[in-house]
Amino acid sequence: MKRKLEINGQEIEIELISKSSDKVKFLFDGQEYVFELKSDSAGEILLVDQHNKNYKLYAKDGLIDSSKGQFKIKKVQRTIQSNDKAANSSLIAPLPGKVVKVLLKVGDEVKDGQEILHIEAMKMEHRICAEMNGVLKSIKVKVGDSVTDGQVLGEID
Amino acid sequence: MGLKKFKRILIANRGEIAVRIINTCREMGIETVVASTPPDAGSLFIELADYCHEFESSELKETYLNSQAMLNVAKKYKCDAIHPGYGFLSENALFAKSCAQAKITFIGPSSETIDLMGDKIQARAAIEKIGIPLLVAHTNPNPKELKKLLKKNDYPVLIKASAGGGGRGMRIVQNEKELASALESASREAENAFGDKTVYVERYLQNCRHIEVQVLSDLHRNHLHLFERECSIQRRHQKVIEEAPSSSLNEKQREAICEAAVKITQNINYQNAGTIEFLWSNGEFFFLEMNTRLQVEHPVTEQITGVDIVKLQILIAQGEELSIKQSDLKINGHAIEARIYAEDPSRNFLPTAGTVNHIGRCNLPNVRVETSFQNGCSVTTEYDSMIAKVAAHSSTRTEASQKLNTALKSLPFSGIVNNRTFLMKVLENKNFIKGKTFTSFIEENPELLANEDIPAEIIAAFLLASSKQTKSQSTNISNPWLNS
Repeated sequence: MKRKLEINGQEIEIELISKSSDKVKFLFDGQEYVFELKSDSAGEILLVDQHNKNYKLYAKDGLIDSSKGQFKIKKVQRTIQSNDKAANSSLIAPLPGKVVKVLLKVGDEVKDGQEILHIEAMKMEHRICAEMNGVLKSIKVKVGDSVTDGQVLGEID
Repeated sequence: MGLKKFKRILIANRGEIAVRIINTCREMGIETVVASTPPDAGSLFIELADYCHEFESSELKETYLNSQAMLNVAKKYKCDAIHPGYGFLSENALFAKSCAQAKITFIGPSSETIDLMGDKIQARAAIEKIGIPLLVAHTNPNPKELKKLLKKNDYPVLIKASAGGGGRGMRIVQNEKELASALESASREAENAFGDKTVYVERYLQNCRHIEVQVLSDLHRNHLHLFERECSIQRRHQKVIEEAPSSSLNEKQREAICEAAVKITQNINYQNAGTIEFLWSNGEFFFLEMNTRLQVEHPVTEQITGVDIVKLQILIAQGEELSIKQSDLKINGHAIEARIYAEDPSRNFLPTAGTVNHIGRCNLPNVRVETSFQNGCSVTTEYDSMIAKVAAHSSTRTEASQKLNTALKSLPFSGIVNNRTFLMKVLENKNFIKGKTFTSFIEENPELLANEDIPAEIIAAFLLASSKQTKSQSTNISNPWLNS
């Protein structure tokens, strides 16, 4: 079974040959790998490969840390096109913070790249801009609101 | 002024710098008091201090930025002195003045000096008088008049907060069109960060280095420098990697820039520790600003000189005369520091939040890991996103850099998106290794943000951990240091 994964923004394909709860066999970049899960204690993971080599990693919600660095990893969803559209028409908070300024109101015409609101986090201001031309259909937040990473702040039609 | 030994010091700060100051106080037999807010829960500085005042609020204006609240804590615990650390009230002249009025020693320069250097426009005028070169600046923030003053060739220009530092309230403006909006947002950011929205505009130098000189002055007109640090590697105008000494200066240039710094401290009769920042471009240096406080990156200077800057700050504040002379100070080897930030390099270094699951351990000799985080601590958006700094000292720059990289490998700070991989890539970058470190380093080395090789074990860990996701999510994070 072929599977697509996105790792640190890079899309890769693997072929999953077999998988149980503590063993996985897959093809990646033309090579076959077998890994066994020795232990998983609160995200602290110990793996051993087919050459009996040990790996210690830390995993939490698609974030994996090892001595080689940090890797953000997720499955690539098949409905890419509709996701793209949603991402463009929705204004998404790219980080957690506080809304400090809303520059436009519902019904205003917006141009691709136009600033719509400002979020402040850790004393820095971040501008949230339109990613398409259109009309501002909704604004779901007001000045002073706290927002979380990924929260939908408004929509453009 | 009569000598008095401090018995108890309030550290009007939090996080790693509070830990740093506590360590020296303990070594000197001085008791420490800190103040904490709810997001600080589990932080090491609370555990290490002798006393901790707990603020109920986590609003900055009611806590770490509130002079009166901090003074009240100092009075309540009968502190002799206050160490402000960096940020927060450290460059607040009114706070320094209120401390003096309350007969509590402010460990830093006089309020007049903070005032003079804190107002970047006033500071520039003072520096110009001394004859130190600086970049031409426009101090009139009126967009319409500025538009007329600035010719097409003057761009790009840099907008900076008059009361600022640390990159806040800073904007690079590429052309006339961007000017008005950038001025407005810079001054709002400045007002939020410093309570003063005044900004000024200066020429933006390309291909330059950020070089700063650590200075130290006592109350008896002895003015020393502890050589320079280079902090050119910055993102969003905030430092990421700092080193001492700079690899770009020859002995003559080093002497010139360090002497310029001492000339400034002599002229303004500076007291205590400070840093004079310069831009260095093609053999020329320009005064940038003076920070009248301890800096984040002071450990690299301590490593190459063997001096405990915090200890000397305390001794100076007690009225003691510096026991070291300029001729005693020598550069020993090379030190490099990396700042671990809770931020996402792949998303323009945006701050992240979450819980630190596993910090890791580093037992390398001559490596300082400075953090107040413990496993299980939360990173919130209330405070600066720096979660740790790691500084490595060795006999050569190459060795120090390799050692720092090794240290970073063993400190995952897992569970929260952070810039560790990015830092490791910087240390391995060929231009960094050659010492080609300009303030534009990150933009000029886009491969730092490019795709990396993906180790197969990462994929395996994802596939195997995800099947147990529900289980590991509900498990409590084990924390060897917290008694919960």
